[in-house]
Amino acid sequence: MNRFSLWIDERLHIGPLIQFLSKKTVPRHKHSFWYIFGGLAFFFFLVQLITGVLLLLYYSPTPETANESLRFIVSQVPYGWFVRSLHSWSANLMVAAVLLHLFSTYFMRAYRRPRELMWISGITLLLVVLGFGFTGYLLPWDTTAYFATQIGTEIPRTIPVIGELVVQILRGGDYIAGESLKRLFALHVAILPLVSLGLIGLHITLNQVHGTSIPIGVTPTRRGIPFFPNYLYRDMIAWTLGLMLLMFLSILLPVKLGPKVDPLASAPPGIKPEWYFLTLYETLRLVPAMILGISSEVVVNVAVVAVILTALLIPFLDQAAGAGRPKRIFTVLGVIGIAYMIVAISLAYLT
Amino acid sequence: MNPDRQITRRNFLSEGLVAWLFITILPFLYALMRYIIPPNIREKIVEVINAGKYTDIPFNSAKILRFNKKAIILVRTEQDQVKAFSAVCTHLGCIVEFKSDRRLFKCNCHGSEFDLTGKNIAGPAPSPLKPYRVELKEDNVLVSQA
Repeated sequence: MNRFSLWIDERLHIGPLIQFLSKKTVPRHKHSFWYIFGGLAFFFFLVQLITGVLLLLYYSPTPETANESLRFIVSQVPYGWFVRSLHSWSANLMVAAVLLHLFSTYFMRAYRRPRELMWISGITLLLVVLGFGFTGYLLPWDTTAYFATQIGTEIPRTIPVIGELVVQILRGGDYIAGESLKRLFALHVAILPLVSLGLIGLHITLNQVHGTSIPIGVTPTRRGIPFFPNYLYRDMIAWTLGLMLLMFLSILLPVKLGPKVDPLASAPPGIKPEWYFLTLYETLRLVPAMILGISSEVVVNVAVVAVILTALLIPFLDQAAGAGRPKRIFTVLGVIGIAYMIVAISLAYLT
Repeated sequence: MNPDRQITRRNFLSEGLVAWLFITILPFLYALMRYIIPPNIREKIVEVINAGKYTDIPFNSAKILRFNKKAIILVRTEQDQVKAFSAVCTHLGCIVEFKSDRRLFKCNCHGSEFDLTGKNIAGPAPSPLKPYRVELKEDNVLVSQA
């Protein structure tokens, strides 16, 4: 150790931590490629934090100024268009990385005992990430954002007893207006980041406690890779590839800014939400107005709650996985889920 | 509760402390909850609005305007009738559009359609558009609650 490292270690006692990380290993087997997506999702989250703070330097969250301030960012501020595109594209890539991480851990049964809380914190993080997408969508205060938020905040109205109250709390009133913009802004830049930092901390700590899960029936071929520094180098390679993809998308396909909200304008033809909400969008479009006397919103709401609860409870529903006996039904359920998402997204784009 | 359990000074104090914390936190939670729920500000309710000159709306076209913060759509039919409906789709609240070529209202969010009586005829909308009363006074269109 050089003098600087000794000085640091004397004050922070990081020696034991580095020792722990270098002893920790990541299993090496035919499916270990999929481990990379958790780290990649974290990388895109960091990009979101940095670019989000940069956008805050110029963005102003009022109905009069929101759209103009973003227009100023993309047209007047040097590289403003680039920072905004990085923020928007990294949000999309973060959701994609989170979904890949989720489905890979699902099929590898990484949720099984004793990692139930890792799974639950992961599903909650997915919901938080979608919450980021939803709350950030209104901030440009353009027409598409306005109607997407109108729909998103209308959906909870059918929840029995508290539905009306939930809509009021989300919108800050009866309609989408300045109060809604301020509330969603507060959620986007303060509440959700705090919640997600706590959840990410828990998720990573649990990963250190339990180590990386090995799929049932898979025998690691060789000795595991030391986490520090070897696996961290692999992570860095994935992160730099992620960064290249992000730069490529941001430069070649910069995100457009729509016209300012006009509350008296009709919803424009072809209006669609971001790709990760298209499954819900297409479901809402396809479900008939009434099913057995129950309105479509109620049916879709119940279905969404059922899917979220099932996802959260998977480790407890699939107890056999904990005993090393994977059940085919859970693989089939996962495949059906992915197939439904692909079909719904394709239909939404094609029709 | 276990009847054999002895009340010691330690567990009496610790349980008392929990109860005390609970009692002190409740008013804060109540205040925070009330803070989050937006205040119900009563605004002046207008009974009738003047939607402008009847002749300003071309045949087979529509315009959208506000009625007590709600969006309404005023349509002049080919038969020279003026009708008014809520412009808010009964599915998930988007503003509908008048399609002059098909003579109907369409919500572009999820594809619901309503005919010129406001009836929901296609898509996921569960109920008709709410009608408003229209009166013509001289050349002016007056709109009020039906």
